[in-house]
Amino acid sequence: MLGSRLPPRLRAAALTLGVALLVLTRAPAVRGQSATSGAIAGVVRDAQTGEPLAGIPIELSSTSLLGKRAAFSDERGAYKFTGLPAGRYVVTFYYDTLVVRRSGVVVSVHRTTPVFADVDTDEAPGETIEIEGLAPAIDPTSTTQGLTIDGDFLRNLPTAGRTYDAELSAAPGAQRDALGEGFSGSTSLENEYNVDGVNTTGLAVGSVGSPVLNDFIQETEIVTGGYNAEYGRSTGAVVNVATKSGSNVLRGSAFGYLTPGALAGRATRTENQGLPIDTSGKIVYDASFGAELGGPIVPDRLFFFVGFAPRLITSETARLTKSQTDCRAVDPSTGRLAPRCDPRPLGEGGLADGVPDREPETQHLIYEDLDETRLRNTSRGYAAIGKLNFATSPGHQGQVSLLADRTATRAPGVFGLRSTGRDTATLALDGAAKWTSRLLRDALELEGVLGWHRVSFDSDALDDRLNSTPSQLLLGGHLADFAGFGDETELTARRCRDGGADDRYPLIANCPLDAGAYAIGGPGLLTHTREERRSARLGVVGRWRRWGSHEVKGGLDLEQNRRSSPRLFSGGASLLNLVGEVVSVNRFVQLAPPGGAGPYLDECRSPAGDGTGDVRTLRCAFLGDRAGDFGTAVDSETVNGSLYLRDSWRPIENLTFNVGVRYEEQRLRYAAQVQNQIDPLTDRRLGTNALTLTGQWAPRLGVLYDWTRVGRSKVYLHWGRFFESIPLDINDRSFGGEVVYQQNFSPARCDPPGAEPDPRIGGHDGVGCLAREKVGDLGEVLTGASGTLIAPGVKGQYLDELVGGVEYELSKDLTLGVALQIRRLGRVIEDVSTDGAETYIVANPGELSRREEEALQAQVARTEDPALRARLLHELELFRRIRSFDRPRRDYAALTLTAQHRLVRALFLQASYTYARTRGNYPGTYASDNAQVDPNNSSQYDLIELLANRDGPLPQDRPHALKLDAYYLFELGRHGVLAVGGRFRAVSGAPISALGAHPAYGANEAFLLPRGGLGRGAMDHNLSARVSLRRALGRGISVEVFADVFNVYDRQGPTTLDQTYAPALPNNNTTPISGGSYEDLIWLKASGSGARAGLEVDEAGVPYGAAVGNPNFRNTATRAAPVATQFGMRVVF
Amino acid sequence: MSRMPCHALVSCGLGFLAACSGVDSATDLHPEGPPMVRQVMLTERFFDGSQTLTRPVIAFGSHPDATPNEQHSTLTAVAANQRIRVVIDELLVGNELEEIQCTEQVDEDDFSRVPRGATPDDIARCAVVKDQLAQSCRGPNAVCLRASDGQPVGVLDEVDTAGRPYKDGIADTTRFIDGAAGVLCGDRSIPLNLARSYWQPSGNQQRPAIDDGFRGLLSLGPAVVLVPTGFLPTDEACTIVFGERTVDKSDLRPCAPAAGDLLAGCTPGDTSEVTFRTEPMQVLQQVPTRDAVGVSRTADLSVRANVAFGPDPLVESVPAATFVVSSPPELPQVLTLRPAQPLASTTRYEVSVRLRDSFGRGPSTPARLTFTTGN
Repeated sequence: MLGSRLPPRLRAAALTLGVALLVLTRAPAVRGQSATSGAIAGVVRDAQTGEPLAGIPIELSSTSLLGKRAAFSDERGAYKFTGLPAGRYVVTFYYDTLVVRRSGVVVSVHRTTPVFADVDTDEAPGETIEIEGLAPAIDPTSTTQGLTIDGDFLRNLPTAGRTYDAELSAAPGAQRDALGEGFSGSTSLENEYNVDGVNTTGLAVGSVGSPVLNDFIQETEIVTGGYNAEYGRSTGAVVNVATKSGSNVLRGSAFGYLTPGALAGRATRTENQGLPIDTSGKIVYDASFGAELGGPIVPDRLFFFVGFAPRLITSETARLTKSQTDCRAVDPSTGRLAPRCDPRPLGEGGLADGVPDREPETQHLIYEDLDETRLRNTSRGYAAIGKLNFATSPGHQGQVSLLADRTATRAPGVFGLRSTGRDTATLALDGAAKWTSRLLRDALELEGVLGWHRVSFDSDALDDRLNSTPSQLLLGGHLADFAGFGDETELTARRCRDGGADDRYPLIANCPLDAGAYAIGGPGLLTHTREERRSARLGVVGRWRRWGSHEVKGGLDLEQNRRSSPRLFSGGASLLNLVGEVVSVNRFVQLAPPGGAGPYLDECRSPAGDGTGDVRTLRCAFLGDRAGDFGTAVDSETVNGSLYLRDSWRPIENLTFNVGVRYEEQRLRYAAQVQNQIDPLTDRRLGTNALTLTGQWAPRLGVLYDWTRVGRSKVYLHWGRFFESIPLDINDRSFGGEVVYQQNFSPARCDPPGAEPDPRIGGHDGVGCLAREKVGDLGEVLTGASGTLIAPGVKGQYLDELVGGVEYELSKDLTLGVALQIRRLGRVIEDVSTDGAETYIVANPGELSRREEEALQAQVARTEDPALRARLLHELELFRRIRSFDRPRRDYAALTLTAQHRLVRALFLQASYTYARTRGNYPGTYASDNAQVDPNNSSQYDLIELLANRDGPLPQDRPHALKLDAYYLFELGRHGVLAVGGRFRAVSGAPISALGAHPAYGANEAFLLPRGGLGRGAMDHNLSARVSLRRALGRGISVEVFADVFNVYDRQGPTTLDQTYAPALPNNNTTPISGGSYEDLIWLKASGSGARAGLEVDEAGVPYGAAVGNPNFRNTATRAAPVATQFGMRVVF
Repeated sequence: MSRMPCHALVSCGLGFLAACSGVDSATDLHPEGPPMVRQVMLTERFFDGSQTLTRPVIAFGSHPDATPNEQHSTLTAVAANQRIRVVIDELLVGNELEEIQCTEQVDEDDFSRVPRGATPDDIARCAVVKDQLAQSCRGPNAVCLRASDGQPVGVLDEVDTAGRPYKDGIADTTRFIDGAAGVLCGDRSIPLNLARSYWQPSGNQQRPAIDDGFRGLLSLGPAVVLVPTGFLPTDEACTIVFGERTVDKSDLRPCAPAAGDLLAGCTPGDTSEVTFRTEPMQVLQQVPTRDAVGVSRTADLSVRANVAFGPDPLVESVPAATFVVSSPPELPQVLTLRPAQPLASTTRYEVSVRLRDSFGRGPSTPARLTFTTGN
């Protein structure tokens, strides 16, 4: 360091001069920063008088910063360093020859770390005062809530995943659903994920788009609420990932992780009560290794950072076949099953009574295991990063980066033939280019970012030849029949067969498929998707003083989101064969536009939808199974734009007002293939934009007060509005002309005349019904989104949020906090149907403005063409009925208590307890009730009769959540440092509902009782631990070995329960019991239950009777993974 | 459906954003107050211009989505094969409306009431195999207990979905409880077919948009569906009544507000507002056709009415002739007149049949068969 060999007074003077020179000349120190950065700010005061000290030179240094930065305190003693990469800093204040040095200042992305200095001007000249310990952790200028995960966190705590998304659960208010981590009452598809400042959110549905490897990450910030105007397009959380960068010093590491299957626990079996096949997964090995390296190319000018890490995973699915049994009886004296199993009939002295054996307690069927086969799944992939940081002149710096993540998996079919499995390949690429300029002595900053996010996803058959074979799902039937396809073992086939010498239980069906399906044929949907986002962002920050200090930030950003996803079934069709009852042939079709020429050589028939029972016939084309075939292409696009402006005004140093506003627009295009076409169902000419969302103003207001005046406290309040960014799935499905043609056949019609049923199926092979000219005798129907209307005046989906709280630094290493967060969805975009799924309308359910209605009425009045007038009148009536739909509601209220003991010497602890309630009738863009992943065009609001009973505790309503992350460092002298860390999680169980099937929409669409009316599942909890040993080897090289144990006490509790009360069996259609209780379910009736004997026929000739139930109702559907161990090693230099 | 006032709702919290969250739904019922009849739907006979047909129609109350065919002022309820759907504005206690079938006789038959408070879990516990019943099926909510010794016999649970028994823990068959509800025509209580009458707790005032498996307005609910055993008296004013034990969850008896208007209110137990009139007895078909010529002298004459003929129908003929009069047991609406002796040749006959239903009701004018015999 400069002046280290000089006498103290002279040294201080030299330093002061040096700092002054730094400030005046702004030496070209390259900031090795990521596209996301933080700040340090504070006030220098006279310790004796408390008066601010102006003109104090302040120097900032850090290994993260690469070089030094300097500033002078202003007339109020205040200073601020912005644009700082995450890391640890040293701040040095110079007063005459007195030096006050504050070390261990932690800077995190998008946070301002307060560093206040009280300089005792009476101190002896030439003295250097070292202030040890960390600077305050509280950001007194920001109302954001959330968590920052840094390198220490990842190094000392067990990390279950290899990428950042696996660590997001640490944030208070985070809750996992089937697709990822949801925050603050939202589902996991409502977050925005930024990597180095570039939006990498998945384009199709809003999932994690680019899973960056933890080893390439400097820091991950999870903002769960209270974010300012520069953030938008999210009704969940904003996740900012800052990757590592190079520096003036050549640094890097080599690392390796191994999870051996031999040390994984045995998975508790979750018996499927409806299938003769159970499965459990087991890791064989999960190995990943790699290296990362960063350093200078041109010192202080140009740095690089590169990394590469392959990952190899092999797992096994144990596929266990089983037979029902009929050989047991209950011991009347104990009420328990007698140990004896005698399969002889009762009349012959045995215990077989023709009824499958069940456990008396649970009434679960008692199975006998037959045979086990192990199916091997493989996943091979790599992650790579390359990054350059450079400076062309003082204050002008840039960065370019490229990340790649490729995964290829191969998984055989499990519930059916192995050949029905899939090959899947994903490649995610992210490029970013950033430029930052600081002007006018740091009073003005400009930042521009160009981003590129591209994902390709391919999924098709294991054997490419099967891509031209339709898939066929066999429902019902017996496993013994399906053994004829050759994939069941000889033992399974023999023991499942009913009748014959090997039938141990001749009075019962041994291996029936009561629920679930057996897959044969091709893989079904083929996916060859290409997604791309091009983005540009420009931001300006200006600072000035007037009635205090202002930091004004403004900016704009643009995104072009594109997706190409061919619409393909393998073999051009997908078959559902309810063995012996009905064969459904489903195809993608393209309807001929009026007068349309082209290969519309097929006929599609569908009910006229006018209540007459008439059938209308349309010209159509059955789509093929190869990308590029006629009608298969679907190219979607949405263009987003936003502007924002916000002022952080500090009238006095410990009071901050954050005032901002954000404006967003979205333009969702029709798929390129249907733009400017006439929709064959609505007769409307489709333009370019299907949905244009303008006028999305999102104000943000916040106030903070630091009563300690030194950044060790804050009390804050923030209100904001946040609009959703609609992913491209709706463009594909609702605006892409998707039409599915379903033909239903009596099974016998699938065979050529005189042909016998296929004994391998136990019935008729649905493939025989694929002939193009066949007419479905059990009905034919066109479903899909051709015929989608856009309700006039649709407005963007948004939520309002109020956050408030208090944080206080009780001691230098312990911070306590209380936070309140209240979120309410204000409006939702969903498709609704007001005419029985004949026409879908993208709308705000429950809303249609009078003004729009009057405008339509006026348009009708002006229209002279009778046909057009009739169509407009019809649409007006459809639109009016939107008002009768319930308005979507999702109310979230949470109180969070936090405690953080920062790592000063040995202990790090981060704990939070959240009490939260999430109630309403709309879970979010992921419909976890029926597992539908179609944001903004799900079935949740399709039909008004499906809305009954939807209000209540939502799936994410899990009131109590306790999270504890802690580690302790033991200094072992020359042996290094031993770190012991643990992670504990406990969360209330999810609400339980009773769901039934809808005749057109299928399983789990009807809430038979009010949502969550059957209590909730058991609390879920688990503990994971890490032990690591770090040892320095000299020459700046250290080595670290560690072991993680996940789910230490091997609690394999249920993660989901089976909520299906009335399954989707033929004609087991049920409708909700509005406001009903569990008692009322006894009397539930299903309609169209003609498959059962003794049923009555109602007024309309439809059979009705008691609903058929699901014996597995409320049983465990999925459970936590067993205990597993991961070993790792890292060499750092 | 009109929106409910805010104070009646569950959640009005989070007032910082809005005065009231307003969680009412168009699919809600109205559990407050006595259960009220909103609609009564039955089958009417109508002439479509070329033939006489039947169709469901709202006979009491109204519905905004009803078409003119489904709701109109003049209607006559068919007296045969009638099915009356009484739509209520809240849930009744199903245990007082239906009972479930057991595997064997428990008292006078094999149906058992279900204790109030029992849940599907209680039913499932009593739907186990026989050797587990004693252990599983006990407690205050046990069902299918034999009256003589209190021992459980098990719920009939062998529902067949695909050619084999499938125990789902749900009673396969329910039966309407005699006297839980009924049809009153004049002063006669009409016997109900208890197997075909039922309680449907599902549904609300929303007409399902998809008819597949549902049936438009016939899916409105919750509903008590009453199916008479035989015929209704013809040309008679009828109403519906509920038994003393038929109550909602607040133990209030159903009643019928004027015109099904909930705002009008009603007194528990008073269903007198529900009235409908049955069709008069009439001839739907006759053989030979009116003024037919060349009719065989020995051929049977027949008259098919809309309801069953009562006993000993009065038949007169000009010129005089004797007929053996009978009705096939399976077709009591058909009266067959077989000439005791061959009729006179080439003679015009006028045979009059007095129309009386099984309740002795009928029009004053007899049905007349006029024809001329052949050689």
